[in-house]
Parts: sequence; C-alpha cells; structure tokens
Amino acid sequence: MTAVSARGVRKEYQGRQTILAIEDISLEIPKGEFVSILGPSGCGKSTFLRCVAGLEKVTAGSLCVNEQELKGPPDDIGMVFQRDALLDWRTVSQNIMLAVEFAKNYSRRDTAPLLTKLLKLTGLAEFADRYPSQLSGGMRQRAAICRALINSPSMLLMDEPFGALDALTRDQMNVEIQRIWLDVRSTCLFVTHSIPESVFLADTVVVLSPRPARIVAVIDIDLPRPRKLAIREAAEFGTYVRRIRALFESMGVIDEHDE
Amino acid sequence: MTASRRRIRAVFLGLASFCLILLLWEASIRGFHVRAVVLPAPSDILAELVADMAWYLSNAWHTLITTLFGFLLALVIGIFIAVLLVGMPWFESTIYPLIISFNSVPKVAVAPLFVVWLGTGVKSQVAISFLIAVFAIIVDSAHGLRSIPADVVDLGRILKGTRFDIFFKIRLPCALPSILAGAKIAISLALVGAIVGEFVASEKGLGYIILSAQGSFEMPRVFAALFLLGGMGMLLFTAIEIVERRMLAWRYLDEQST
Repeated sequence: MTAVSARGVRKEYQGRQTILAIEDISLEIPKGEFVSILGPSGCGKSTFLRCVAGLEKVTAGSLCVNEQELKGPPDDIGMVFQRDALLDWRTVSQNIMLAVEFAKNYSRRDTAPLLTKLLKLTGLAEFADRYPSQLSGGMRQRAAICRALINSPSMLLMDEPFGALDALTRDQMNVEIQRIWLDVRSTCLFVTHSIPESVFLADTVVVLSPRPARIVAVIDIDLPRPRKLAIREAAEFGTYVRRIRALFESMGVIDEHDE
Repeated sequence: MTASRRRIRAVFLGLASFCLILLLWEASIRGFHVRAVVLPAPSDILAELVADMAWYLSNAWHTLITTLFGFLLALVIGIFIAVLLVGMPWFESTIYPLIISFNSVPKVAVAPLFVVWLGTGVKSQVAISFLIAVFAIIVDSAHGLRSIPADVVDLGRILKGTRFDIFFKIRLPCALPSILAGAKIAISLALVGAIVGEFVASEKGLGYIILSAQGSFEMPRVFAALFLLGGMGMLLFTAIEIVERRMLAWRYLDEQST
C-alpha cells in the first residue's frame, strides 16, 4: 500500500510573474514509512507538503493520498505547522481536543484515554490545563504534535516543526518525535532544511534541488532504531551526511570556496 | 505588588487628583469672586445635585437606557456587517464604500432627520446613538476577523471543521480582542449619540437637562448634569473593561500569577 503517490507533480503560482515552485516531483511513499523531505530554504519543499495536505492544488501531474486523487485536504491526516498554530484562548488539552471536536466520527469520551497517553508521551501531563502563553516554544510544539495525533491519523505531515526552536530543544524534540513515531507508526512526511535532522529521523531522505524543486536523490537510511543522539557521531551517520552535503555542493547550495 | 493592589492604588490616585482639582476650583471661585452664572463652585453643584437627586437620577437613567440600547444594537449589527464584509468580497466592494461615505457625514447633521422619521421619543435617540457607535464596531470587528494567522486558517481546513465550527471556534474567538477594543470606543460614542439625540428633541435625559438649563442660565444645573454624564461614561467604560477581562482571561494570566 502506498500512502502518497506523486506523478509528475508541478506547481506554479500565477501572479504578475509566474513562479514555478515545483518543476517535477514523482515519488511513492509506502504506508508506515518516515520520510524526510530535505532541501534548501525556499526550494518548494513546504509547497510540496502543502500539496499533499490538499491545501494547494497541483498545476499538473497527479497526486494521490491513500490511493485517492486529492480534492482538498484528505481525511485522516494530521499536520504540524512551522509555528504551532495553537489557539491562545484554549488550554493545552482544549487545543488538542479541537481536532476531535471538528472530526465527525469521534466522541470526546473515546479519545480521553488517547489524550492522556499523548500528554504523557510528550511530557505535557502536568501542563494540560495551562494556556499556550504559559508554555515554552518546545512545549507549544509538543502540544501541536499531540493535536495532530489525537485522531490517530494514518499520515502525519510536519512542516519544519522545529525550525523556530533552539538547538538543544531541537535535539530533544528529534528524540521525542522518533519515540512517538515508533509508538504510533503512522506514515510521516517531515520537511526540514537540516541535513543531520533529516538523516536522524528518516527511513528515507528525499533531497530536493533549489527552486524549482526536483528530486535530486532518494536515500535510504539504514540505521537501527531507536536511534540515540550519539549516533550522529557514528561513521555510517557521517557517511550519509557527507553524501547529502556533496549533493548540495554540486548544486551550488553550499559554497566553501574563499574568493 | 499584586494586580489587585495596583488597581486599588490607581483608583485611589485617580480619586485623589479629582478631589484636588475640585478643591482648587472651589478656592479660585471664592478667591476671585467668580459669579455662578459664569462658573459655579463645586459646592453649589453638589448642593444642586442633592436637592433634586431623584429627578437627576431618573433623567440619568433615561440617558443610560438610551445609550445601552444604542450600544447593543451597534454591537449586534456591527459584528453582523463585519462578518458579511469579511466573508463576501462583493459585499465589501459594493456596500462598504457606501458605509464609509455615510460615516463621513457628521451624524449630528443627520439627527434632525430621525426626529422626522421616528418622532421625538426614545426611538430616535437610540437610532442616533446606534448610528454614531456602529462604525467603530464594524471597523474593529472586520479587522479582527481578517487578522487570523494563515496557519490557523490552514489548520481549520486540515481538521475539516464545518463553516459553523470554524466561525464559532476559530474566527470569532480570534477576533474577540479586536471586537472588544471596538466596543470600548463604541460605548463612549453611544453615550455621545444619546446626548446628541436628546439635544435635538427630547423632554427627558441629561442632554435635555443641559440644553434647557443652559437656556435659563442655571449653571449649577448644567454642571450637575455634566458631572453625572462623566460618571456614567466612566462606569460604562469600566463595565466593558470588566467584561473584557472576563472574556479574555487567558490574556491576563501573568497579572493573576504575580
């Protein structure tokens, strides 16, 4: 079963000047896989994720989620945004339950055990009744992850979710998202511009070119799970990172020559 | 210092400076022998108020009710128009320019028309109060409804909420701080509107007292009504602030905890 099937996806933005965001992406993502989409800033990787989420229409090509051609956001997905998109007037648990209130077939009572479990899994149990303004950036993003998971979606989409966090919190969140994912095992699309982050988290890293986005390489990451942060110093990890960095250098994204 | 103590301090300081101004006023009237027809002393004004307390209060009540009706009408209709403005582009391009141009006409100038249409009773006063207050609500509510972060809009789409859900659970609460900011301005404007209405045609209310007493040079009476008006304005504004603090409790969390 494929969770996402993209064939010749192309995305243009019409305006005074037509901007080509995605030139051509063809990609099959099997169910249950963790895929990192890696590319330089502004390359169109978030645009691709928004297309998969049904928030943007593709200009050409076909894009299927759970074997169905997309017409608007598909059922059964959860999304985590760059900034948490929490509602300030709701407590943490009320924010998470918003997803339940909006879904048609869920009852509050049935999801109560899952809510407790997610809060515990993300270390938010004590903060369930706090308001977002009382939380740190990392905790806010944890709450947003819980909200994305509360309806047990078959696919989780994450758009640079840790981009706004400091380096230490980001490491911590990487460990946590892996632990959560090992527990829920839904398909996961994770957009990032950090090479180590993409390698650390993913089964497969999809490397995109600068805009307009094309797939440059699809790299399977063969490292045992659960991975510890220390794995980033291991030789195999270094090999993956170097390989990807070489790709970026060849595309002119990274330039180390002094001139 | 806790928030409540800070507030008590602010109220105390406000009262103290008010009393100081009254004392200075009283002293200069006596010192410079200013005649009461020009400017009455605070003691005269107080005496006037106490002597006819019941009459003043019943007139103040009339003005208060007019103001509240005008304000509530402005609130409901203003939010409704703002929702239409934000939700329907054609409404914004056709009706909004009309609303703006209508708002540019001084309402005081339109007031006599309402007397013709609605008579000299409370109806025309409420209508004028509404008219003066509603624009602030429309502008601030529309601003609030528009300023919803893009990712929150996306979230609503991803979660597949119904239009009803998205409006009442996302858009409206998101806009609430702006709506209440508009309400704070509108409540003062509604009071202005009520007085304008009473100026134009009325046999009741503080506006009527001011106009009729001014005609017969009964200055203590004019000032008594003005003081009541000032007090009422402050009361109404404070009431909206209390409502705001209740509805937006999540915004004042820091103040409670310190």
